[in-house]
Amino acid sequence: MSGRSLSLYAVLYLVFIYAPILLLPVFSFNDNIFVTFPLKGFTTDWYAEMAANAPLGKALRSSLIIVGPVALISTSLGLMAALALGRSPIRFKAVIIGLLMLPLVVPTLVLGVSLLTLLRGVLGVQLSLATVAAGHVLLCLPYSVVILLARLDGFDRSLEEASLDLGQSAFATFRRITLPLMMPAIVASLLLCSVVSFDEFLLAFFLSGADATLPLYIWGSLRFPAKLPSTLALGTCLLVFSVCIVVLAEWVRRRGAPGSTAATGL
Amino acid sequence: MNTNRMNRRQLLARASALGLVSVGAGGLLRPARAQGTGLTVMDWTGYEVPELFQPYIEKHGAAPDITIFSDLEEAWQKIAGGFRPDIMHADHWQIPARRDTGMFEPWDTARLPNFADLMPDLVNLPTLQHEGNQYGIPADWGINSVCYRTDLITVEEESWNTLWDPAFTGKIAQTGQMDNMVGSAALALGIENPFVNDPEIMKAIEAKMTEQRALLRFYWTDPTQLSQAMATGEVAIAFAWPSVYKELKAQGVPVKYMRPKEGVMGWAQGMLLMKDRDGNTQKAYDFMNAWIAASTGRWLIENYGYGHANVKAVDGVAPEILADLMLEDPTKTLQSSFFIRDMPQDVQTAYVAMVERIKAGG
Amino acid sequence: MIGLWHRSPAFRGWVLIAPTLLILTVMLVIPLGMLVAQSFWTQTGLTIDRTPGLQNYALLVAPEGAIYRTLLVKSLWISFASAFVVLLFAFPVAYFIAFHVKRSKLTWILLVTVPFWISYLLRIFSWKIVLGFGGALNSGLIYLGLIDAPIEALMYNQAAVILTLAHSWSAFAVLPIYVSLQKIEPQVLEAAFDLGDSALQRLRRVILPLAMPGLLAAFLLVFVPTMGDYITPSLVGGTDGVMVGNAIATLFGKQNDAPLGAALAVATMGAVAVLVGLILVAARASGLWRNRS
Repeated sequence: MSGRSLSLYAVLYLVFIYAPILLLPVFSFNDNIFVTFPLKGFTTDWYAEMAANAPLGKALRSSLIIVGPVALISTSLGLMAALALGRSPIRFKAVIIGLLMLPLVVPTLVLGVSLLTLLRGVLGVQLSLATVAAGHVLLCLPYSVVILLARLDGFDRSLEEASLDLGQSAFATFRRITLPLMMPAIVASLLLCSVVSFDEFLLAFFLSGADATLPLYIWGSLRFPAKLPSTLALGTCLLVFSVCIVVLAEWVRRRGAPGSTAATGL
Repeated sequence: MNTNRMNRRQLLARASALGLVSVGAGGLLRPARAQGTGLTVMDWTGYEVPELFQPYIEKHGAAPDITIFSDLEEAWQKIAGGFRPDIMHADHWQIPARRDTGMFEPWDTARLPNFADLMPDLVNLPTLQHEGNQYGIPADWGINSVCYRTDLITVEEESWNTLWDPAFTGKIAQTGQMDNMVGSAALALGIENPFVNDPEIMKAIEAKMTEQRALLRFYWTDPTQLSQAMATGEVAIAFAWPSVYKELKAQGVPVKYMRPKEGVMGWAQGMLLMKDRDGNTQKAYDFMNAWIAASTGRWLIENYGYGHANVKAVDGVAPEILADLMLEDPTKTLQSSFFIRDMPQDVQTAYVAMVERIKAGG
Repeated sequence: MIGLWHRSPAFRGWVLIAPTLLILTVMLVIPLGMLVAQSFWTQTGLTIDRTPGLQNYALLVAPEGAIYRTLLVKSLWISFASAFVVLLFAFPVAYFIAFHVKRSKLTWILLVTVPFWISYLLRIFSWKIVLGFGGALNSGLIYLGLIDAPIEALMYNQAAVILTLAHSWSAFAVLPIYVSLQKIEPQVLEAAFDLGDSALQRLRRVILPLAMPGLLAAFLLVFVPTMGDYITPSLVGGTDGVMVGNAIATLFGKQNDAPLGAALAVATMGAVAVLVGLILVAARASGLWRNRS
């Protein structure tokens, strides 16, 4: 595959990914409740409406609160599980991997109902953002393990063995050899888990108490046609925020020593 | 190879990681303290706004905890799973089937000062009142009809059968809700009450609904989808909530809300007092009373285009708004609309299965 | 205990995986057990009859259950097609980032992932804007004079569902493929090139086998969850694009038949497991996947 055609392809791919989403900002400034062409006129009213919408802000905050812990906990657990599965001679690996993939297979609705019955009916736990986070951790585990295992699978162990032979403790080996080599997968896992949690809607409904998460709120606002443009305004803000992170990451990288890849090891 | 020798530091590190995770997990799952407001209400999205219970806020200083839902079935499932609100807001026709489950208890209407102002036709609905007990307090209600684009199609005679007119093939939209699908088919056929366990009637309704499917652009799942489609002309005629009509009109789209010769459809909601309550009973009554106050009704009419059970709610609302929503004489509208009187469980089950089958293409 | 820790790598492995296993057992195995048990019960109205029986499964294979079988097969097809499309398009991008991007790898990874921080619902909605009646494609084509009236066939069918799903899930494919490609050393590729392999041979003999874990992971991460999705089908699928997830949701919800819903869910999970198993076997058999772990 030539580098040129591949670059072109990659750019086109990005266009495909972003083009539909870029319509959101377009219509968030459009002076029309109905999100259709032709465009009517420019307005910032929807942003004002969004900013004034307190429940929307609360829902956004709720979603953001759980994203971090969920990504961190899932990735940590996933890392430990991947190490155990990929390195240690434990038995029944196939069964454990099957078990790990189950949260993906079970329809989320079914998972939601069952978890609710378990948490509320059996364990008597109050519903809150914490229960939502617990549900999301369960959902993110397969993603995390799959990515981390994919990295470990077929990994050349000689580096680690050499390090141990040279007298490094197993932990130091982990810290200095394994961890940096796993970094791309760890970052990927953190990213994916954040996406999964931030997006997730069904478990959030069943396991949440009074605090709605953002997807729940957006789903509910579909009952009110007039609220659509301000929801688009929110989407635009999220998009801008995400793009800023990308720009920031690139800027940080460039500030580092020339030729060095960022601390993520990518 | 020194894989077997792990020093204490590593052991400590791993143990602490494990401990951290377990504590974190345990902390997450530890039962949280009950919310401080003393009242949990489960309600539709859009109903969490303070204007709908302003008197309650004035008395207690803060809004109650409101858990929102946009799908009533999911809400029931959540309650079945163990979630315990104090007050629940539900379609009136879903109440009879659940009465015997002991999920909710009758209201003591003497504790509701505003109860006297509620329209008797709503209060006495068999779905809300049973054997002298008031299980559901009517709050919001409204009418549903057919909305159409006057510039795209011509309607000779305003009737529910326009939704079955082959001339409009591909431009019709129908709601996906069972009660309204069956109701509109019944009105088109002239059946007075389809919600009975009569195989003949059910067969006729099923045939009518199946006949409609080929003519539809889609079964709409939410009003946004419908209003978008009608605004662009993708759909020219549809079963629509009054809010859709209101929205389109406000945007200058030429639409009309039909007065079908068979009559409009009516809907009502009832608010329920749940039995296994965690919250404060007096607060529950205060909340309910605030909801049925005339001031709340006025806001509801003006902002959401829904009717309100309080007779005085229409006082002070602009006549054009009332005319649009057929609320100039609410009692008359109530009495002439097609209302679901009762919904036995087996009838509900049969129709839901039928409707889902038709919608899925079966 | 400490002695065991020092002596046995297996013990260490178990300790590492213990918290995960605990969570899985409590939050997954138990609820799933409840689900399977539920599938043998019956529900009339709101009362559940707990006498076990095979009536729900019998219904699923009987003529009355035809609609469910149709939905299941349709969903398998839609999910499979979406996963396949996603993989096909994601692989070159992952390849590009792994091998042709020298310094801005993180930036590219972020670029590919970041659109997905917008809510899932908004992503679906953006496709409604693209494919809709008054949407971008239709308006653009009308503006260019290529069509007179909007094309209705763009929306409310299976194709719309596949397209929307493929877009929504693409990050879940790029990342795993990238991660496994990334550990292939360039020297290995160069060696293959030096040895005279054509690009296609290089792909088949070197790259695909080494990337297979990532490819399989990507396939799993897209195919499996989309089977249970009912939001996308209900927003863009119309009558044609209804999937089995919709049926399960309605059985649990409006139809108040949780046991049948549970049975359908179990059947769906079984079908998914079988299909995934077949694919894994095919991957092994084709010689493209040599599992070294």
